[in-house]
Order: sequence, then structure tokens, then C-alpha cells
Amino acid sequence: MEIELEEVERQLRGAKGVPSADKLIKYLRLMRDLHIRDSPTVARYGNILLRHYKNHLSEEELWTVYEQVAIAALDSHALQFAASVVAAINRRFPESVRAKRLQGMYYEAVGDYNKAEGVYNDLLTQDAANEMILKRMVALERSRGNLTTAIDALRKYLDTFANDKEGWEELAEMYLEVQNYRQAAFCYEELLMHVPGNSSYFVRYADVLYTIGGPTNYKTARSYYAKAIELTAGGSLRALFGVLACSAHITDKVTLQDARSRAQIELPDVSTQALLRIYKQHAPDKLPFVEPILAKLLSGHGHGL
Amino acid sequence: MVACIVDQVALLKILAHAAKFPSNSINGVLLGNCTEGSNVEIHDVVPLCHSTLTLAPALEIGLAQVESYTHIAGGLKIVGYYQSDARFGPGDLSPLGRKIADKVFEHQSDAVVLVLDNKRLEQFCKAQVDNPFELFNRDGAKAWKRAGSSGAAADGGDTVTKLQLKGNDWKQLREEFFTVFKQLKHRTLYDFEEHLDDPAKDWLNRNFSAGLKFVLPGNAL
Repeated sequence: MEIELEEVERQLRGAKGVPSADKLIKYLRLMRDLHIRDSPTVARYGNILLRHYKNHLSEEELWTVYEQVAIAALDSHALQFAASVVAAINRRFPESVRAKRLQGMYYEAVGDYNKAEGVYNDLLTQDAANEMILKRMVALERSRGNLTTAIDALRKYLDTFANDKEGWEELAEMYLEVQNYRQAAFCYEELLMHVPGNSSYFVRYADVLYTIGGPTNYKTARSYYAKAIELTAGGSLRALFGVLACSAHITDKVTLQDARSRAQIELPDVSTQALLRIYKQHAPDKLPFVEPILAKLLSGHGHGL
Repeated sequence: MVACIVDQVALLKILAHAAKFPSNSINGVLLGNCTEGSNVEIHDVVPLCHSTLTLAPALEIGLAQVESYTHIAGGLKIVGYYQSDARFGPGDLSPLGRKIADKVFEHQSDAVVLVLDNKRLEQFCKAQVDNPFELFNRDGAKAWKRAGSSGAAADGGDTVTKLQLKGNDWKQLREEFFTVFKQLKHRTLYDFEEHLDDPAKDWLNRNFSAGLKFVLPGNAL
């Protein structure tokens, strides 16, 4: 899908005059499916689509696009344009909470946080457990810079909606921002439970443990990096470097007893070889910088700065 | 009076890094030289992170590789650190930023920090202000302070006063940035994190620097 996206973006950029409807529709669809954030471009192409080709879309897709464009316009600070799109949506869906929240988001975008809060509180009196609005309240506090309040609100939300993966990711990010690494680690533990097999969660969790430090954490982090290497068939640089960085901090001697201890003993070497292979193939110019680092890490004489 | 002079290409790279990841906090290292009398010259930057600023591994490996590069390539040293926050607020050096800057300071006692102030960046784009960067340096008391804010140093020594742009043409820098942005060249700038996720992406950004000559005709950078 990413390659399709690159292709249609290239076609749109090269178009003479107004780009064709089907390319615009395809671009917006791919952006929605891939969850990529490129708001100025989405706003621009969405604007063209809505201005010239409304009738090319089904009723359902039309209003999905309206919402997508509204959010992109707000994100790009194209406030006048955003206002017109939000107004159009609210005219079409006058009773909708989903539509009204866009009004709140507009106030957030202009920096009128109190007004936004007013909109959201109103909506919450009608529907106290509305997930969308509860999350907007978190975002509001985060924009205001009240990280502690935002964290508390998101924790409360996740008490009820414990399966919200994005919620856990956002909470982890906020904990990292306030440098509460232990709580961030807890969030990644939740994510690992919800989405087992996601290598980037393994890496992130290991990154957090490594950052906290300490002998137990280095050992645990190493095993999570090792799992990530397995999941990515040795392709993750973060995991490979991670294993070496952890190993450099672990001073216990491991005796060769069984397959597991053999794997542990061989892990640094195997990772080093994998890294050298990757650099040789994809970034040979960086090899001279990487080799001394790998040598240092392997010899366990500390690393980094 | 101590000077901190920065090349246009260095500031352009920081602006491009910020433009590529507008909703993220970003950071990187400053490369250059410290000369006689503790003057700091910034000739280039290496963008490091845009999503894991708070996590040690990417930062440590990134710093190690950049240091390795400076030893081997010669000519340039790590002379500082830069950062820009995701939130549209005052351009201060966050506690985390101070910690990272301290690490750089351990190896370079004349290290400086550049913070891209988002509010000033908005003004810079509207041509209301010349310089969107805030310069920090260490005063004697082991803290990072805005350059020139502490006035004369307690020991009567030198303090860095403000950031000077080589060639002193901030208007030209603005125009160059707009050109880079309009032509989407900022998307061809890669930071160390992107390199970790795709090793073919060059955190030295040699193509980007070379491409600037074509993007900005008649401009010897």
C-alpha cells in the first residue's frame, strides 16, 4: 500500500491543471488506511476533491472525506478553510456528537482552550462515557501543557476502555515526556499483551527498560531485543544495537550448559555479524564509523558517551 | 566577549528537520570547531531523533556514530546540541534537553545549545523576527542559561552573547528555507532514527547539502 501511495502522490504532483478525481479519491483513501499524518497535503487535495468532484463519491465516503479534510485543515492551521468544512459537516449532521467535537477541535486549534472545554463538557453531560470526547479532553490538557492532568484523565479513560491500543500508546508517550519510565514500561506491557507479535512494541519496551537501567533491566531488555530480532528476521537495527548495548552492561559470566546458554553467549557475536552485513549492504559508507563502536561494545568496555 | 557563529546550512538543516516532523519534538547535534578564546563555530548538524528523544538507546548509538565520524573524517567536532519541542510554547530547554546537553558538555566544555523557539519560528516565517533560535550556554554554576542573559560572568570571564549567522543575512536564510520547503526538499533530510529504521537513509545528509546548491542557484553555501 505504501508503494501505491508513493505512486499516486507522484502522479498528483505531476498533474497539469486540476488532478483527476480518481487519483484524489485514491490518495485520500490510502492516507486514511495507512494512518499517515501529512495534513497540509491532505487538506490541499481534499479541498480540490470537495470543490470539484463531490458527486464522484458515495454519501458515506463523502462525509468521511469531509471529516478527514476538516481534521487535516485544523492540523495545518488552515483555520478559515477548516471553519468552513466543520460548518458544512455540522449543517449536514446537526445532532451528531462526532460533528460537534470538530467544533471543539476548531477552538483547540485557535488556542481557545476554555471554549473547547465548554463544548466538550456540554457533550459529556449528554453522554458521559463518550470515548471520542473523553479523549479530546486528554488532548486538550496535553495542548495546555498540563501533562499531569492529561495523564490522570487518560488513565481514568483506560480504566473503562482498556482495549484502546492508541490510548495506551499515547499514555506511554506522556509518561516518557515526564520521564516516568516505570509507568511508561507498564503501558508497553499492556500493549505487548494486546498486540503480541508487534516487534516495535518489543523494541520500545526494551528501550524503556534499558533507559531505566540496572542489572535486571539490562537482562530483560536484552531478551526483548532478542525477540524483536527474531520477529524481524534479523532486520531491526534498533534491536541488534540494543542487544549489544545491553550485553556491554551485563557482566555476569554465563557458563555453557545448554542450548539456551549457548544462544546467550553467541548472541552478541551473531548480532554484530548481522549488523556488519546490513551496513555492508545498505550503508557501506557508514561501516568505518560503526566498526569501532561494535568492537567496543563486544569487548564490554562501555560505550556511548 | 565570546562569539558563536553558525553557517546557514546548519540552520537550514534544523529548520528542515523541524518542518519534516511538525508535530514532534526533534533533536540533534551541532558539528563545528571551538577556536581561540572559546569561540564556537557551527558548520553543520546531524539530526538525531523525532520520536524517542526520551529513550537512551537511539541517542547513545547516534552520538557514538557521530563521534566516530568526527574522529575518522576529522575537521569537525561535536560542539553542541539542538532541540525543538512539539508544543507551541516558549522556546525553553526542557529538563530532558538539559540532561542530554550535559552529556555533550562532558566531552566539549565549550558546548552550546540551540533551541528552535516555535513562537519565534512563526514570527520568522512572517518576517517579523530575524532569528528563531535561542542560544544557550553553560554559565559557571553548571546550568544552561540563555546566552547573554546572565550579563557579565561572575568571574569576569567571557560569556557568549548571541548567535551570529555567517554572512549575517537572516533574510536570505528565510528565503532559502521557503525555497527548500516549497520544493519539499525537507522530506529528503534524514535523521538518525530514520536511519535505524532504514539503514540506506543517510544521517550525514550529503545529498541534501549537495542539493542545496541546485535549489538555491547562485548561492555558495
